[in-house]
Amino acid sequence: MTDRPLDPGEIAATLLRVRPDRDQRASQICAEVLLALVANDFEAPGSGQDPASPKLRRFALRSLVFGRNFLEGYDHELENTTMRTEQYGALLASGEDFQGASNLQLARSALLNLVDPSTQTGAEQGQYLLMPFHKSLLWYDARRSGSRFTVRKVRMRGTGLTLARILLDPPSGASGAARERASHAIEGIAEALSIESPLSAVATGLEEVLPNDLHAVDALEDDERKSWELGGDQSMVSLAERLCAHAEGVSKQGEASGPSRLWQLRSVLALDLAIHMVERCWEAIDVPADQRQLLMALPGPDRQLDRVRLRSERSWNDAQSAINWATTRTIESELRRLESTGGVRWDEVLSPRAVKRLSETVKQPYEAGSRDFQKLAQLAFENADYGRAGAGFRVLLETIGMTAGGTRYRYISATPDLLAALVGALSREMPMTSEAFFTRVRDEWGIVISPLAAAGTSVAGDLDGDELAVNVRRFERVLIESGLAAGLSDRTVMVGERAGRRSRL
Amino acid sequence: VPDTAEVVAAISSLVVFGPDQAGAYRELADSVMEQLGDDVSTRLNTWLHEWGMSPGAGLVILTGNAGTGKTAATQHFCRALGEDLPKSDEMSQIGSALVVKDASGIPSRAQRAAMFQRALRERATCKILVCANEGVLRDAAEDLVAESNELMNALDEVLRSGVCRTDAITIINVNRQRLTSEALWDPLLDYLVREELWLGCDSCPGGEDADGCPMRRNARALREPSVRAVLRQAIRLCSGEMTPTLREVLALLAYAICGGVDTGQEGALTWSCVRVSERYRDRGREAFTASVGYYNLLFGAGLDPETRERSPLLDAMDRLGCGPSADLVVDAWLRDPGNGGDSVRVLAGVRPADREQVLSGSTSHLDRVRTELGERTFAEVGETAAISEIATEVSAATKALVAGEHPAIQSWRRRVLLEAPEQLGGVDMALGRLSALPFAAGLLALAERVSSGASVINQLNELVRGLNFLVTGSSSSSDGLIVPDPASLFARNPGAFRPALPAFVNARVPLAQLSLSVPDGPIVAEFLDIDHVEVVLHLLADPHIRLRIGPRLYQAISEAGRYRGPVGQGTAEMTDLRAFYGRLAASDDAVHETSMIVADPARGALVSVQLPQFV
Repeated sequence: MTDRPLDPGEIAATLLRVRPDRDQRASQICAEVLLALVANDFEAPGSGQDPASPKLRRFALRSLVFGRNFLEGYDHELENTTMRTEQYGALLASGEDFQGASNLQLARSALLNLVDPSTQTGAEQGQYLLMPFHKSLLWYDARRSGSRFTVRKVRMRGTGLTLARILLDPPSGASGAARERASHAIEGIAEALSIESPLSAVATGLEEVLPNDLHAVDALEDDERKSWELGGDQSMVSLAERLCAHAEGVSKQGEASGPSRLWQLRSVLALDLAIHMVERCWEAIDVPADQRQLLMALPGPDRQLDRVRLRSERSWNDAQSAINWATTRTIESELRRLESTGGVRWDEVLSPRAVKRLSETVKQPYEAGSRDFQKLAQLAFENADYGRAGAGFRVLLETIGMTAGGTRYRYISATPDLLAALVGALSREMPMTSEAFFTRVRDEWGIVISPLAAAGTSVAGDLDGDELAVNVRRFERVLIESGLAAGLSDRTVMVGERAGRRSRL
Repeated sequence: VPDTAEVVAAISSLVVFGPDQAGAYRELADSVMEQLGDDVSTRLNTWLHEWGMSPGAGLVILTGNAGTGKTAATQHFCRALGEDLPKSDEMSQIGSALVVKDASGIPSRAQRAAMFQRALRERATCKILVCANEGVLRDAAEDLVAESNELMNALDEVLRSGVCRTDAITIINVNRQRLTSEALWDPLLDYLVREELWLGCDSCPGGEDADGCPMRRNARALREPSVRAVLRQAIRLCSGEMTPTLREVLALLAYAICGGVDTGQEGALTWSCVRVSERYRDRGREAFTASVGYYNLLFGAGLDPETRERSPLLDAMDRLGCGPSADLVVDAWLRDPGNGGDSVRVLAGVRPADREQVLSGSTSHLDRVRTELGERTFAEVGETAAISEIATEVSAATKALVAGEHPAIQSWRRRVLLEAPEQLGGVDMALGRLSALPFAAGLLALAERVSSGASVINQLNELVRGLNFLVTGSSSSSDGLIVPDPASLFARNPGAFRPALPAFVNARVPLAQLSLSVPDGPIVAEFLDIDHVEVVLHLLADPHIRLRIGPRLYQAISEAGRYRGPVGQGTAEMTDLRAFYGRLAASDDAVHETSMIVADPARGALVSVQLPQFV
């Protein structure tokens, strides 16, 4: 048990095993996974050895991309020159040509094209990321500390390390098939991250003149080590089975460029994690089996008349409620456990900040004798940061294009990029008919799209088959238009001809 | 002389958008043929008839969407043998030949595979005709691949080329048949609207120079050459994104003549002569308005959105944007039809100078719209909205113009498009001005040029300019086709309103190494009526690296080349582009850059990048 078992982060970890957060989006998780793989040279560390830290700097490249000197305060001599690192960073940040360079400003503009928009929140460029299309384009969060930038945990918080461990060294309870797929996935990811291109030439060229000191990564921190170890925990077996299969699917599919595969990997990492989270919550609060699904809709123009969309809105709200309810239930359990071991010592089980926030609403009633733990847990949930787990689930799905409708009428949907990831994740079985695909999507992620997939779920009781048939046609159309499926002459839709690995044409 | 009431019943049974659609299926179409006459003669029907009459043996497989006319073609083959269609879907002896009219009707996959096995075995001894949907054919080919891969190879070839003819096996993909071909289009329309079918039933309301019946008036409009020409171009553009089957095209035309019944009338989608005459008797000339005008019905007016969405052809027609797409000149003609010339005045229903009475300029339901003030002509609505000083009238006219299920402004644009294209510079120009695809008609002209073998170097140059803009933001063709780095292409959004950012270049392909072709080659034309509606851009050294350019992609390319600004992008188009450039980037036939080159949209040039040197 941890020092502060009632802290929101610990409650989330107890319930979900991982620690989601609203700042930790799909891009951060993907980048942390890839950084960990690259830092460890795509191999698990030897038994008893720590993995290498994912904290890669790439300060020269960042200086050029963002026009800000990330090397300020670093006083090293560059190789084969008298120029100092700080001066080098300043020149790169200025965009001026120096030392025989030409058109660096233009190269900067081309690289800016690759900044991942979903990471461009807030003013701190140290946390902006490039799209993860080559290993030389990956870097860890940085923040200015005193006179210089250092790499440190800001938005990457260890979840990527957990997932990287699952891929490099799945938990011992994972099946042989999962291990084999993990190995293939790593092979495919390494290949996609290593495709040479002008972009990688620029990134590598700028960094290689820096002295080795600036390439060295810091030692692993304790919480990073814990995150890594969590990836080998038996509680992660179901996530590992799913993740290994899906990562192998996207990285080993038939026709897809390296960038496409890596972008799909970003989607499946976030999706599998989000589904893992909501499934644990359903389990924690005993949601009936027929209600454990997410209804995915492609709606028509009129919200009020579109019952599939309205039901999908409900499905979204139910998932959010399940997470919140499960969090409350976990707080309640923890309160009861603490009570049974001598009472709740608030200053010991919560951070000072949380104690302050719960002082009036929870702590004082408890100390006055209230033992209605259900109510106390509910009040605690409402008055402290326990909702961050639900927010983490939301941002994961938001950033892979799985929600739409704004904040008021949010529903579960899918962009073509996400559909490409679903098809890629199942590439081992491709091609298949659209009906089989929708059924597999339900089996893999609990996502309902078609009438057949809805059979046996509460969705079937709420919607007519005809309504879901319209939903199916809309998805089929997007699949066809996105090149993910082909409409055959008998109106069968075959999904994944390109993604499949035995393409005939 | 056919009885028009019977004709209406027959035509109504062709409408597949509602429950009563028996006439749309060959096995139940006798009553339709009794009224409308024999099938329109297609190249496929003629070829099969001649094959049936000729000596020899062989296997012919017809594959294609439901409703493309496979069963009808089979009937022609059977007739050549002096027989009728077999009753069952199993392989049947018809004269000296074996016929399978619908392989998907054979119960199990194993039985279907056995049927194909037999057909392959006996093809040297007799004529065998098999109709099979693509899925069924694919299943059988996979099942038989262990014994022989000839069916699988033939299937692959037919999906690529449209027709495959090998060792006594001919497979024809009937999806490649185009009803808009010059030889078929007019006969197809005549099949439904020729004058002798529309002389009037016993209860015909007559009136308005015999145009009181909306169905007769709609049919008459569809006999007009300009209407036919515009409609043909519209359906050709739709063909670029779906397969307009014979069944659907006939259904759409039938619906355009007889459809548009007000909802709530026992679910019927089409009018009957009795119902029309009763309504005309009760309400006179105000009984019918543009809501049952063929120009609205062609775009699905009166059908619920779900039905429209379910029909690929109606959906494609809807996406053409005819009606919602505005043209300032056309819209201004509503206010002052005189500016459009006499023909536009007639279309708008302008009152004669000596008449004050409402609707005195109307000649049929095609120029009338319903308003809160009662029925009015287009001209009267436009005039009221523009110059009336009575607020309630202005409000009612404005509402009629833009609101409701059939906004008058949309009806007007459609009518002008179909009936007065010459006032807008011709069919292609009119379609460009009044649809969502202003440049797409240019693709049809380009496809014609390519198929005729004429030089298209200028057009190729324009295409490359547009493509270069789409993928790099730089619209010059002087460096050939620019192939961006896949990562830069992944990040590019041609629809964004922010200026394009520079992109790293992977390769350049000189124009001389590119070529344009059309998907349907001469072999397809031997068997099917074809009509070129797409072009294919391919690498001369490797024709498999190809980009099929349909109307929407052509539109995006043309906009990019012309305006050098954000273009309306479709998911499908960008996906095709990414796949094409991805193959180019990986191809050994492209000349890949050895140095760092960036396409700079600001300078419109390719620029070399050099990193700092410390050696």
